Parts: sequence; C-alpha cells; structure tokens
Amino acid sequence: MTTLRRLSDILDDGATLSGLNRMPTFLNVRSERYGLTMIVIRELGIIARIALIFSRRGLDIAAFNLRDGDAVGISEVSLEFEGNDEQLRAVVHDLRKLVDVYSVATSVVRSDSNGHVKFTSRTKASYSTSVREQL
Amino acid sequence: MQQLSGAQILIKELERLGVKHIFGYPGGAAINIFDALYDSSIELVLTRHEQGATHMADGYARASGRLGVVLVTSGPGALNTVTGLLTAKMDSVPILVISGQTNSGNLGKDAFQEADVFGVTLPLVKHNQLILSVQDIVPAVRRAHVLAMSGRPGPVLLDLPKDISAQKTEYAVDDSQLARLDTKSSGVGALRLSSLQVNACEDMAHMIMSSKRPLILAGHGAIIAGASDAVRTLAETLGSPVTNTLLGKGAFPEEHPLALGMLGMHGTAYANYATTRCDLILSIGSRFDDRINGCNDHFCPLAKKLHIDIDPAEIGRVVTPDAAVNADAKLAVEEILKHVGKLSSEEWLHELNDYRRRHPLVSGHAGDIIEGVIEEDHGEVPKDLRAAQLLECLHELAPRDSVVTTDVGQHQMWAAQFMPTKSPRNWLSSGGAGTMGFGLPAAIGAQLARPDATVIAVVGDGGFQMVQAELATAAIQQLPIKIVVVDNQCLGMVRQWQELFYQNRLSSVSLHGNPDFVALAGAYGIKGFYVDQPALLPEVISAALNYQDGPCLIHARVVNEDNVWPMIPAGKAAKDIVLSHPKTALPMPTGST
Repeated sequence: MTTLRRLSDILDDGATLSGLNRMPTFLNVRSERYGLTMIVIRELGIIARIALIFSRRGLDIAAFNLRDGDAVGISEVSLEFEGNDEQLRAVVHDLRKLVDVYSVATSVVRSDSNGHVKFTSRTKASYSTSVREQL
Repeated sequence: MQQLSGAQILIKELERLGVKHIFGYPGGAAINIFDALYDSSIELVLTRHEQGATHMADGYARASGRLGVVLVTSGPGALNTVTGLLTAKMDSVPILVISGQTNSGNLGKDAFQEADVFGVTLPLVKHNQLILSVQDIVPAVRRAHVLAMSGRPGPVLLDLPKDISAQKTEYAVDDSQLARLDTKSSGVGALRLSSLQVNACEDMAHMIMSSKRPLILAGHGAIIAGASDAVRTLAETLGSPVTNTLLGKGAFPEEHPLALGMLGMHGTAYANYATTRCDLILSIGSRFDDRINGCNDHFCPLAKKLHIDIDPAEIGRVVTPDAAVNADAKLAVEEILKHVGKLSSEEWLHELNDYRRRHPLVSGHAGDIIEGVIEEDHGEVPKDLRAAQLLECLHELAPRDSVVTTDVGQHQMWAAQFMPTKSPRNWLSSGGAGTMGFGLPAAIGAQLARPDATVIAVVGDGGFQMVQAELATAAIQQLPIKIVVVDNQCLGMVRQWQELFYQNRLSSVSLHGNPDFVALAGAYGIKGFYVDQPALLPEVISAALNYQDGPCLIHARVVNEDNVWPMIPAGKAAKDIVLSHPKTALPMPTGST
C-alpha cells in the first residue's frame, strides 16, 4: 500500500504537483480522506457531472471507479477525495441533486501513521430529492 | 398516430405544455425546428442576440411564474446563451433552452458550428441532455419541464442534433401524463408536508414564540412558492419586522409598517441594524448569500437562525441553522402559522423605528461629489440630477403595481432602495450572477408575459449598451416598456470601489463615446425623452409613463460621481456598516467582489 505522505515532503524544493497541496491554507483543520459510493443511472455524461462537482470546489479526486450495478442501466460509482467535513457535506448534497444519481453513501477513510488505510465509519445511504418520483 | 419529424414532435410537446412564446434566433442546425414552428401557434420572438433571448425568457419566467423557452442554433448561438443560463441558475429561474446541434454523426469532428454545448453547460444548468434518438424527444421535453419548474426551479438545456430533428417517427397524442402538469410553477412536487416536516415546523414555531426580537428574512423562495400572503399573515400575527433580500423584494410589501426594506451590502441601515440586534432570524427562502452575510462569524450574532428552504443543499451550507425545514416556503409558513400568536415585540419595534428615524435612506448624500476627475476629461459642467432622486420620482409617479427590471450596478442598488416593491414578481433583477445587460431584455420578456402591466426597465449606460440592439425587438413587438437609461458616463459601481478602496485610481471605468441615447432610440422608431434637471423630472417621467404607442426611452443624465450608501464592505459584518462617505480611507475589503 503506497504511503499517503505528500510528495512535497520528498522533493527537496517542496515543489507542489498538481492535485496535491491544494487544500486552502486558511483551513486549519486536518483533512480527512472520504469515500463515496453512489448508485447512478447510466446516462451520457454522468462521470463528467460528478467530476465537475469536485473540480469546481478545487477538490481533487484521489480514486474513482465506475462499474456495472445490479440492474441494466444502473452503475455503481465509488470515489475517494481529501477534504473536510464541510466540503463533504456540500459535495454530498450536490451529488444528491444530480438527476442521474440515485443514492449516495459516505464513509471516512482515514490513514494511520503507517500509511495503512482503514474504514472508520459508514453513514446511511441517502436518496435524492422528491423530483425523482416525477421522472 | 402520425408520422412526425423530431422537430415537429418537439414543437407539439411545447404546445401541449402551454408554451405561447419562444425567444430565439435561427441558424442552420436548428432550421428544422424553425420550419416546424412555421405551422405552430407558438410565437417565436426573434431577438438580435441569443443572450437577449435568454434574458427575455428569464424575465418572462420571473414575471409570470411560467416556463421561459429559448430556441437557438448550434455553436456560437448556443454558447451565447451561457451567460443567461448562469443568470437563471443563480436566481433559480425556470427556463428551457433548446439548442440545435450538428448531425449526430459529426459530433466530436469539429464540424461547422459544432460546440460541445452539453459539456460547456454542465455546471450551469439544473440538468441538460444531448438527445441522440428521436424517441427520446418526448420524455426529454417532459422531464425538462418538470425539472425546470419543480423544487428549486432552474434552467434546463436540450441539445438536439439536426438529423434527429429530421428523423420521422410515430407520435401518439398522449395527454394523460400532462394532466397533472402545467407551466405555472407553484405546487409542482410540493403538495403536502410530510409528518417529519410538520414536526419541524412545530418546533420552529415554538422557537419563534420564545423570541422577543424576531426578524423575518424574506427571500426569493418566498416569491417562487407564492408565499407572500402567508408571510404577511405571519409577520402581522407575530408583530415581527420583515426584511428582504434583493431578490425577495415584493415577497412582503416594502411600504408596510413592519417592513425594513432590503438588508445587506447596500441595504438600509435599519435592516442591517436589526440583524445585529435580533434574537431570532427566520429565513423564508433566502440562502444567506454573501451580499447579506459578508462575514459569517458575525452574522446575526445574538440570534437563533431558522431556515426554511426547498433545496436541502442550501440548509447548513453557509449558516448553520438552529432549526430548519426543508420544504416549500408556503406550506411551511402556513404550518407554522397554526402554532404561533402575538409576540411581545413592541419594545423591539420601537427600537427599530427609532433607529430608522435616525438613519433613514437618503437620496442625496452630501460629500460625494468630488470635483475634477472625470469631469475634467470631458470638460463638462457637473449636472445636478442624482440617480436616487430620479428613481424616487419615478417610483412616485409609476403605477403601484408596475414591474421594474434593472440592470446591474449603482442604479440597481438605488432602484432597490428607492423603489419599494409592493407585490411579488414585480421586481426582476439579476442578483446571484449580477449580469449586466439583463434589464432591457428582461423587461421585454416581462411585458410579453404580463401585457397589462406597466413595465419599466431601469438600466445604466454600461449595461444598456451591451444589449442595445434589443431595442429592435421591443420596437417590432410594439411593447410599451419604459426604458430609463441612468447615464453617468461611467461604470459607477466599479468606480465607487476604486474611489473608496483603490485611492481613486480610476482604471477603465469611464464610458467615453456613449451615443446620444434619444437619437439611438429614434433610429429604431422608439420615442425618446431627455432629462438632466431635477425640476423637469415630473414632467418628463409622466410623459413617458403616459406614452402608449410602443416602447419609449428616457435618457437621464445624472451626476458622474455618486456613491451608494450605506455600504458594508465585502467581508465585513453588519456592525461595520458605512453610512455615508467616510472622512478617512477605508481598508481593502477582505471579502470578494
């Protein structure tokens, strides 16, 4: 399992690489690594829609996977990103608003000092707004 | 059952939704749709720019609560609607933009006038769809309609390739699904509160009843939900003062004794004072935007925050509420009304009225006219007509239920301050996006939506020039809108910031070369009036208001250097409000724009 240390710790000149070290410095909170699992409807552009929700906030997606779900036309998306609670909250709400996202479940993936990754909590699946029923 | 082309099916579906007007501009990729329109009862209002078309649909939707529809061609045509899409998204306005697209087989080949409109507009719409099969058209249009109008309204875009629009298929007229949908916005998806929401309303009511210094904050959500009667009843039942956001103007009558007017960056001193002293603030459909909440840590410091919002993403996003109800504003307020009564708020109201007497809105601040800088360049004598005076007089003489649209800038703030709005959907202004050029096309759309209303577009010389070609649209449609061009020969709001925060280093704010606006109007066959003297205001404004033979334009030449007060610099709290021109320099704002 690769270490989660920042590459800038390794490089002498502390150069920032794209995607790393992009956490705003005024946020004096330790950033967590969160995992999201979504059940989505396979419509054109679903990955683009999800990705934009992160990029517009300057959040970097650290891992992303889309695979077939339990039924035809349904897929499961799992992704990981680093951020804080507030950003997680905002991102989850925005994802739930997407018409093609059926549910969003969150978990906290926190690294311990050896760089191993373990799950610490799992929140309940949440479903998108009532407009779904009308579609 | 008939064999119809994709374009014909699209138009038939729009007709069945009750669409009467589409604002648009043709082009090659959309030509099949325009051909189908030729036989339709829907009127296509041909504009002079697609941005104008989008703002017209926006104004149409804001003024009526109905869906505004735009039809443009591919590539540059569709991309010209992008600013309008942002405007609609930020202010939660239901519009449907249909754009033509190159043949589906050409997608991604940089075909003529091809652009990835779907990709470009992804972050700017509530939803969008690239239609790749003619069978998808009917569900796409119906889905787009529901999405645009329900919950928190917003813009939806449908991208229709030309070959799909030409393909024929069976079209069965099926009205059963449409029976429960119409193009009016209130009520779709919000029929009844759930028991959870009912309990939350009851809890909120209990919190309200233990308050001594309540404050109701009416936002755009209260207008969208049609909650103004409920809000008024609530305020009068409680004896609570009411303040409104820019977009909430009209949710509660601004000339009511309990009304404090607009709060925020350029809101009234007393509304902002109320936020510093209230012990409870109830936001009805306002998202606590940074124009009213410059500094979250110091926003309503003594108050419990209650938030009613239909969009769950807004609750807790900026302000962490002590109680929240995620529901339609009208239903929530009506439920709360069942559990509230009169509060002992007399002392509070007395305190606010006293503060209001001491710090009223003033339409002519002294100390703002700085001799020399811009005037010297033009060699002009300073005029003594001030924009706030002009707008006060306009408000006085215009019918009480006039629809006012504005552009963006100082005139917008003065209009918000000095033209109190009496009822909902009579104030159309670009708030979240702050789009210059919104005023004139929005007025055109509003007049088409409400042919019996008096529609007044208050615009600045900057924003007006961005869309002045739409004078043609107003003239052709013979719409009796009144266009008031507040001409200060500069981009006033930026100039104010440069004066206050950038040591008066006026960079790129002087509008040299403005045309003679009366002559410009005349070139379009539009009646023009000119005024630059306060004494002549009543005469000119009355003449314009009485003119009914089509649109007319008032060119009002006002002083160049004038500032909007009060002002809460960006990033500051209400307690740091600046009431009039400061004697010492202000520090650079910590907030953004």
